[in-house]
Amino acid sequence: MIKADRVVTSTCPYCGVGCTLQLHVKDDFIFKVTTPFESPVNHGNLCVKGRFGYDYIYHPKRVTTPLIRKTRQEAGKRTQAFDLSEWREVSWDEALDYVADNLVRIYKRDGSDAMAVYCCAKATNEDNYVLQKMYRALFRTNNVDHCTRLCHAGSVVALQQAVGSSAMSNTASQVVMNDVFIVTGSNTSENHPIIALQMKEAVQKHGAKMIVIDPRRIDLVDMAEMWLPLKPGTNVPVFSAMAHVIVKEDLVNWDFVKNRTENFDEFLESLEKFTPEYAEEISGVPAEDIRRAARMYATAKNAAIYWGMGISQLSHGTASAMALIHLAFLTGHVGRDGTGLNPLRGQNNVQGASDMGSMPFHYPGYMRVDNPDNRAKWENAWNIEEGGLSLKLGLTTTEILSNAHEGGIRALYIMGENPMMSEPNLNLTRHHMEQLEFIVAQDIFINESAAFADVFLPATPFAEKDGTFSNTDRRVQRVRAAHPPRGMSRPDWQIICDIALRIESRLGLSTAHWAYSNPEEILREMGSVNPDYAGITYDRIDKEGLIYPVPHMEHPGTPTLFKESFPRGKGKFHALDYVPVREQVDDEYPFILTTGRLLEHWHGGTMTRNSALNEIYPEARVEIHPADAEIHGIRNGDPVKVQSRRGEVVVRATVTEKTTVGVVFLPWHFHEAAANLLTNDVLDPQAKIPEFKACAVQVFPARESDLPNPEVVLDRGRY
Amino acid sequence: MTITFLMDGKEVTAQDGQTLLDVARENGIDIPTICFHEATTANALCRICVVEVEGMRTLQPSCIVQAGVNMKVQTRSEKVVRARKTILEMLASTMDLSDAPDILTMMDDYGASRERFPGAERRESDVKDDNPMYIRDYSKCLLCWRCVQVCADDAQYTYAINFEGRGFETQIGTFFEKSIPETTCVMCGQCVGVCPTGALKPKREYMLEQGKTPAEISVMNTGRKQRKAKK
Amino acid sequence: MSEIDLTKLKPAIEKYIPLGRSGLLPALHAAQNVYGWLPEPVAAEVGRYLRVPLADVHGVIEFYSMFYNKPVGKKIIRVCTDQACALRSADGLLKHLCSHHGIEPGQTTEDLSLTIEASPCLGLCEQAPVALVDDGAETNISSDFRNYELGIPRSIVHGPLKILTANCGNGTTSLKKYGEYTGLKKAKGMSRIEIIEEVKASGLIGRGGAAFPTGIKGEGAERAIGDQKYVVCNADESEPGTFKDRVLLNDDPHRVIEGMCITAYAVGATKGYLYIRGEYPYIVPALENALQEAREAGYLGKHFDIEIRVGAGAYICGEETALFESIEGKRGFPRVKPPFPTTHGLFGEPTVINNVETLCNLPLIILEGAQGYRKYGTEKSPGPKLFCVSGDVAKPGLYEVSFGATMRELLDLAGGVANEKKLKAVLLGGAAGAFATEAHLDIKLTFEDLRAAGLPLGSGVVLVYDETRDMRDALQRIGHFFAHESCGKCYPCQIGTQRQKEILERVAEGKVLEGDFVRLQDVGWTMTDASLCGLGQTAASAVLSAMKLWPELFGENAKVNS
Repeated sequence: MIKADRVVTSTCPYCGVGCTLQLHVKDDFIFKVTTPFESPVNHGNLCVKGRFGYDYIYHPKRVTTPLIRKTRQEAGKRTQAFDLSEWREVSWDEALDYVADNLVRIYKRDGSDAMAVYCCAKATNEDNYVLQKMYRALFRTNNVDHCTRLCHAGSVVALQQAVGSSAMSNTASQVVMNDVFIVTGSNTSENHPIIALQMKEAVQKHGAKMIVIDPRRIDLVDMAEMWLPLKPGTNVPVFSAMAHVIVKEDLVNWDFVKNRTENFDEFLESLEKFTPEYAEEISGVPAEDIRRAARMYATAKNAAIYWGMGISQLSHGTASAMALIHLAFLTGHVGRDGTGLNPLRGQNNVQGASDMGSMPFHYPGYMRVDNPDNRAKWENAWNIEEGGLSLKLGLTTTEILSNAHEGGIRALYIMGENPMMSEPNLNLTRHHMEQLEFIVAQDIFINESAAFADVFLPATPFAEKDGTFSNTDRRVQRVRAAHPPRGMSRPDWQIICDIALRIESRLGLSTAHWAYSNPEEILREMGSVNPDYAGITYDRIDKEGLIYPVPHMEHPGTPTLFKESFPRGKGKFHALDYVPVREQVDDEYPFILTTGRLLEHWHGGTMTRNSALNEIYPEARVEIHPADAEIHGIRNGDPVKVQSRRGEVVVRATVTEKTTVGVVFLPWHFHEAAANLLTNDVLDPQAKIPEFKACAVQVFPARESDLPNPEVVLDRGRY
Repeated sequence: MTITFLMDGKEVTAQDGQTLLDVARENGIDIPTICFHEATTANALCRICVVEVEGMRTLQPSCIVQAGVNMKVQTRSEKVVRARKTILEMLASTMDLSDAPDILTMMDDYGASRERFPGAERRESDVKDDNPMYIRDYSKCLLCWRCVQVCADDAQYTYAINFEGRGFETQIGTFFEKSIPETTCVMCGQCVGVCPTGALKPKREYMLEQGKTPAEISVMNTGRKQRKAKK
Repeated sequence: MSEIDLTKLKPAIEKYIPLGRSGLLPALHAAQNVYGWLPEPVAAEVGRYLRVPLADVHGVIEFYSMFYNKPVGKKIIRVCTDQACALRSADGLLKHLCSHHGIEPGQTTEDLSLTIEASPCLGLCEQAPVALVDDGAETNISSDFRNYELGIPRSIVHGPLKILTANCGNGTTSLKKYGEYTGLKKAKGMSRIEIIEEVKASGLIGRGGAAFPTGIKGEGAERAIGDQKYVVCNADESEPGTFKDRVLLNDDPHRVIEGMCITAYAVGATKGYLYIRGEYPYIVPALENALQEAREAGYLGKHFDIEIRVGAGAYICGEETALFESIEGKRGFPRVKPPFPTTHGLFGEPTVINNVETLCNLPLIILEGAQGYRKYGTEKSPGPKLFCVSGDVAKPGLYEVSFGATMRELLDLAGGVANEKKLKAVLLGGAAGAFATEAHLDIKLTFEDLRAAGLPLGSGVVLVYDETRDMRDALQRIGHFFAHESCGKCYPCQIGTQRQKEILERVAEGKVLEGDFVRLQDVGWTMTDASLCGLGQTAASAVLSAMKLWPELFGENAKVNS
């Protein structure tokens, strides 16, 4: 038996569930992860990533020395350097001076509009706060964004417009109080595994009825009361038709509509055409099923909606989410325990990163940047002259890249993000990246984006730093270092503060204050202006997290929101129209490609492809329905080429009923078969989120030799 | 509703629905448990927690028997001690308890001998190392059922493992002994998290025990070779 | 291995698919009938059709002796080597048969034509030695294997009473011969409470071995609330030495069915199951036929119907909650009680489960009334009783007597000890019973008298050993039996039966080790006191009684614990 030197309690770095991890350390090496059964978040359960997927921390390919590209990169001619032989190992001083010199040079020459930063939904609140602060305070720009743009931006914008907030209204564990719940656009079993367990418990042990509305026959369907397999991108008709049923069959909670909402009449007018028959024609879901689902949801005592990317990642993602919000408004299934509008946030700290203002339109606490009162508050907090901060809305991630040219964005700072895997239309993304003049990568591995950088700053993974993550429940939880940073790596916030001081001295600015002696001071500074976090201290979240808003030091946290009113006052209905997916199928590209994730991997694969997790899921597969497979002469395991107007991949086919006829599915984790080569970079006009969930592709047989790794074969029995 | 009854001659109180084990723990009375776990369904199968209840023919498992009005309970009567001691001795004669210090302590507590049964058939098994996340060493398995339960309705609803054989020959197994990756197992490790004897163990921990260094572990080839493409 | 033709599977298991998990055992039986055994692809398809997790399907196949996940012979011969057959040289028979075919017991011939296995008691003790040849009973086998009877076995039934066995001894009694269900008819004119009160007043006690008052069981189920109530007939008769239910089921099925119908009416049950052990396949056609007759006569129908479920080789499935698990498509693990079957039984619903013989008493009680019923038997053990007499007696067979007859009287009826030998011991109650000797012969065979003497009645087994018999051999077989049949759930029995077996093997070989006596006591009492179910609680019963009677057999003159 190995006896641990110490057991450190922290929070999982993978998904938004935010499970409590107990890291067992021996000789500064984590050898085991356990979790307490009393954890209010995960009750003793973990998934394969949380339980076993921390080994990337020790992978030999992890970079723990600052690096500078040996060959100077020129805008328009950038190349990727994956191999260490193309980098020079340098000291921190040299690396940080190099960063500061170049950022300042470009800022002085081209101004705020040339500067942009990708904050990191995986880094801590403290890391993100100081990074957005640096760019706002020192470079006076709002070109600050992070991957939520590619994720729940649609949901966030819709919620902002409808209620004035951008998070789950209830907590995931309240699912056991639901009588009926809808799961839509979320393959919860693979993307929020622990929440899926709670959903299953709700069904099996508490008599809840689950309605799955999803183009794929996801694992949850086995326990669902109903499965509505809609065509990708037909959310608005289906949910609006459900609203139509609720109104026409007089299942409306008039009390709630009258007292808690506004603009109902304009909404009602726009609802007329959304009959179940109309929705059936567009989506393929039988009208009778739409009626039944609507009635179930409306007549339940406590009902909730949980949703994911299938709603948000569309060129009408905002409208999609809005259509869901309407259902809760009509029935009053929000503002009470056991109900709610619950977008399941993906990353471990995407909620936190957003809360920390890592967004082009918002300061920390969702204060709009174009509001002078808000600006004044932050100028005060950051010791900036009156009128110093910018009122101009910044660019989003995709816009930052599409503006990477002369006269546009010239310098990009990337903290822990991998746009070369996560942005849509990767061939175009590559072109944009090549145009940048200066790229800083702060990460733990040289991934596809860091490979483009001029300088690599080795940061620490979650297990080597202190801080906080805010999970999808709005629960702020502690992150603790299990052992000192390996090699020369440093916690992100320390790197950033170090750079900020160097930038200030080069720009001759009075300091915005960077000399934090510990990360808690960062959280307290942020909480002094952002009322949601005002009552959160490390002491108060030492054992268990607090669910914000926590407006003061005695406040116990707020699991259920909107009990009395919405942040904007009344919930606002919006008139919606059906906007089809931008790229429809045709003879040349007859399949709808929808993309998504797998249980075993995480996003761009920076962590999981460098972990034993890759051994249990070593290759990408395209899911194709048996009926389609038969027509095209494709057998299970055959190599096929999947091609869109923008790019192609060659992968093996998995013939399965997990997908539906006419729809194929690709996971986007595998750089050698990157699904985002095919996806469409068209954006939702309000949220600016790309349409990852639907584009048109062709699928045809390929040869074994076309595969990137023909000798690698996936052999798993899990669904 | 409060229930008053006698435990080891002392008057104790319980709330309606509390088990004898709950009450014992609240009153500082030590009743050993093996298969019992706060987060799994109690099956009362190890029988180590049995107590003597006046008027009942057989010893009663305190982990599930609820406190009753006017019950008279003895937690360490002669019969109870004999049963616990013998069960522990039988366990020691069957499987490898080296990774279960709590049970070894129990054995000392009850004066149980590890060599009580000469010529006893043991349950032995090679370490099953068929995936990169955890190993299965069923020579350490004492069939507490926790792993099967958490893989099933107690937590994960995945049903990757069940029982093979019957009686003494029972062992935990997969469908026709398929390797773990070939089953429905999603490698959540819930089973590892509840195993009381180290029969299920994270692979990395196991490698350290085998004397591998962290550096070696970090580059280890787990043996799942890349295979020839097959249809 | 040649390709397996899965197209043959669906038609065979089609009707079980709607049952889901509960259809698993019937589906596996059907699949095994098609393929001869259960290859992996077949097991997987069964799992997929019935929507049962594959690991669970595997677990079920592994649990039941009569399901094979390796190829077996086209013909399977199961030779009984348990108590009564052992007294008739079953070991020699098995050896002879095996060597004739060039294999060891448990093996299959190379051409896959034949498998020979040793089997636990097949319930044909009065015609020992016996074997099961595929679905046929082979009885009274001569030592050279030349002479035997094969097919549906005879019934050897003796009096003095002929109430329960009125129709037994002459093949299956048709409905026409049985006549109308007069008991049921009379019951339908009574209220549910009245029926239950009548059965309570009759004092009828369960005949399966657990000896629970039948009326109180029915009362509990009648009062219980559930979505659906069930009546289950426990026909899993597997206690070594027992064969009474085999006779009743084969020769007078309508009596059993009528008993179930009366029970269903009394408690408000709408569905019945008749769970028959897998080693009685030759009775199933007669039962199916009788059920059909009952349906045509209107006794069974939408209001109440009975489904036959066939076991697959597991003595533990005679335990009521393990039987429920088996019907539900799972391994036969007993459940903890409480809750009890009357409130949470089959599928978690209120269930009355009764032994075959118990059910056969019900029409009599309704027709004669409690007082009429009490004409037979004693105050505390009323009614007629069937005793299974076998072993070293002149006339082995099924004997129906009034409760109150003594052991001596019963043995006299059976012609006394065979071959003019003296009596050494009587095993009362089967392997789970206890040994009695000459000294006990004048004890009345009633629940109360035997209990006072520290002996069990059990299921009515009376197995006789003459003076020449080595009791150590009998004990070793008992040890082997329980180790084979332990379900493996609770530790005392899972490991205890194995340890007990090992020590008894040493005893039988005369190789007792120092400390074995106390070991056997400790193991025996631990199983008796701490096991989860009746199997473990009685696994040491016979052994402990033997240690009291013949301590010298165990190599030590140690004191006996109590």
